Amino acid sequence: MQKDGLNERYVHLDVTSEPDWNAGVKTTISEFGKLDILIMAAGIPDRGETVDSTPIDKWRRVMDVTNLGMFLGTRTVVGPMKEASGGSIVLISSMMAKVARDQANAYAASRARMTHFARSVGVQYGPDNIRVNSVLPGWTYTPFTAPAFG
Amino acid sequence: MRFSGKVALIAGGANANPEKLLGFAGLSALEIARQGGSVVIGDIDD
Repeated sequence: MQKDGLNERYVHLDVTSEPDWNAGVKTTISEFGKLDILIMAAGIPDRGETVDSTPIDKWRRVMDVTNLGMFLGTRTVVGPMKEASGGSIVLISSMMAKVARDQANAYAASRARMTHFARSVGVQYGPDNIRVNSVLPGWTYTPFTAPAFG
Repeated sequence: MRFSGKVALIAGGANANPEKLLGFAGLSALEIARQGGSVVIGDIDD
């Protein structure tokens, strides 16, 4: 992107790490002076898993990346957004937050939690002019889903 | 320029190369930057 003249930086960000979030927000503000928008799009699949085949570690990992990630990210950005008199938080959820299937229970549960988290946090920070929305995409060909398309 | 002057932090966007297949994060980063915004991309996948 930088070679195209676009304004972009990269930071290492493990969404389950509070120090990484703090560093990411610090870099954003030091480089560009403020933070208006957070898009949380990190995720981890559990394609094909059923409740009885999902290892506990896998369940925890899906919840950590999706739900601890959204919590830490939101918690880290609301302060700077308040200081900037507002902002927008977009959580990339999934149609799986609404649609019941016979597999991927951890993924579906984590996305439903994300969607309701967006609602409740949106109510909480609406008075601070911070909008919080979740997006529920259907099947879309991306690097994340490409293996399932074959 | 819808995002002119806006600054975004995008988690999960290791790949924002328009010559590659993009995910939601990468495409969001590219579009915000193309429309005048500034973007910080964060990912575990350095």
